[in-house]
Amino acid sequence: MLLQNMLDFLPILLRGAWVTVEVTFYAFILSSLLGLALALLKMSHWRALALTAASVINIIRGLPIIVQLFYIYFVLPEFGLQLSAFQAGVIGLGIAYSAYQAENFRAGIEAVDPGQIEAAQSIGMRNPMILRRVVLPQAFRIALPPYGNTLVMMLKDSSLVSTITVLEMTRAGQMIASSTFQNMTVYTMVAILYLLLSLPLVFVVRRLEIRSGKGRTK
Amino acid sequence: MKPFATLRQHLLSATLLFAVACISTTAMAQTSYTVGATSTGVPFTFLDIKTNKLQGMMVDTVTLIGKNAGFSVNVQQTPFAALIPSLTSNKIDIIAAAMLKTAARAQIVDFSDPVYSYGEGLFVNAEDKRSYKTLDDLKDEIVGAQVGTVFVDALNKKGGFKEVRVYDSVADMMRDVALGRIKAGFGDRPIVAYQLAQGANAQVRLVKEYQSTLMGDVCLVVRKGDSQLLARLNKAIATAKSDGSIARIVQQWGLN
Repeated sequence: MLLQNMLDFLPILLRGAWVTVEVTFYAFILSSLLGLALALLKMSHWRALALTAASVINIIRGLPIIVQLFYIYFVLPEFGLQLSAFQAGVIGLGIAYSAYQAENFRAGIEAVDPGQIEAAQSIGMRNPMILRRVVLPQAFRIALPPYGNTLVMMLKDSSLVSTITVLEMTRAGQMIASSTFQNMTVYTMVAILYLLLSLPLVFVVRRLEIRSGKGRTK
Repeated sequence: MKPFATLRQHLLSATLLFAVACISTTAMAQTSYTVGATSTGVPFTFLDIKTNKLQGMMVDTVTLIGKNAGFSVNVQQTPFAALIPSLTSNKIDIIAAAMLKTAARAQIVDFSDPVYSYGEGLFVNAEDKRSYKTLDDLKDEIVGAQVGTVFVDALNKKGGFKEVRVYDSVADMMRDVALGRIKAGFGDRPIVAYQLAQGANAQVRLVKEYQSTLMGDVCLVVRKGDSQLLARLNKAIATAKSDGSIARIVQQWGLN
């Protein structure tokens, strides 16, 4: 009976898990790009730009993710911007996390010795090349642990998009629980599936950290 | 740490492009409508785990009405509190859920002719043998209701409770009644009766002697001013009532 239930629930939960992975993947890419842009803007020598970026980061950080999602999904259509639930979820989560990503990146970039940049300039490197070859590779190494943690947090917070009708794993579990009343079975399965998704990420990040740590001691 | 103006601009425009590329609009044909239904409203709208599709009395009703009116329906799961926002922001065209017609809702959306009527049901812990006839019997107790339902407002307006807690689903509320976190829960009577009859929660009982005070009509719901669709629905509902097909659906789901 229990086994039969689990076999019945599993395909539905797995379909939800796939949506969870998709939302997390796209939102993570979006938040990384936006976060990097915000971090660079915030460090700009142009005060107006730096201030704008800082305010954007503070506003995003000061708003609950769920409110941002509601706003994007339910309010923006009034201004003519129609997004599907999935798109709104990815964009909402991506924007919400871009603020934290920006701080991760900024910490990494600022930790790179300014002397190295001057050295690169002195041998005639142009700014984009300095960023690409000198700053970002080292910044990446420093920012990697918080970056990895952000990914794990995002995987878990992707359950928030269920509130704007995206059928991801938590929502799938809720649906099964309310039509079968098997709360314990369903939510235990959901919890195990989340762990199966997040624990490998935790280990991968840990390995990467060790590897890049070795690189630095050379 | 200065420079990098050009790279910054590239990154910015790339992200903007990406965001714009994600945006698209949905086109809607007249022969097919998107219907929003909650996935946690047994037996009106809930998930059939065998087919992974929504089923229930309101799903059958809106499918039937659609057939009568000449359109097909695409039923989409939507949390109850997101139903009306989804409708007004054009995500869905029709709501088919256990949603009662109220004056407040009617200011925002348009209701079809009723397809079914019911009031609130009261449930308490199975060990609680007291008799509850009216709301006054629950004075100074903690009670619960489902978020977005008319009962939340009604209970708050009535007052005299220690606290009115708001739950996402009836199942959550039953769990808290069973655990003794709240004294009693209010939900749509047929939903509560059906769920308890299905063995949803053995530690909870329906209070049979309780008299509903908030009788309401279940209707299909459309956007304010969508009079063309509303006329089609009402015509189809009238047909389904006169030939007894709605009554058959109600019977089939044990709601009579």
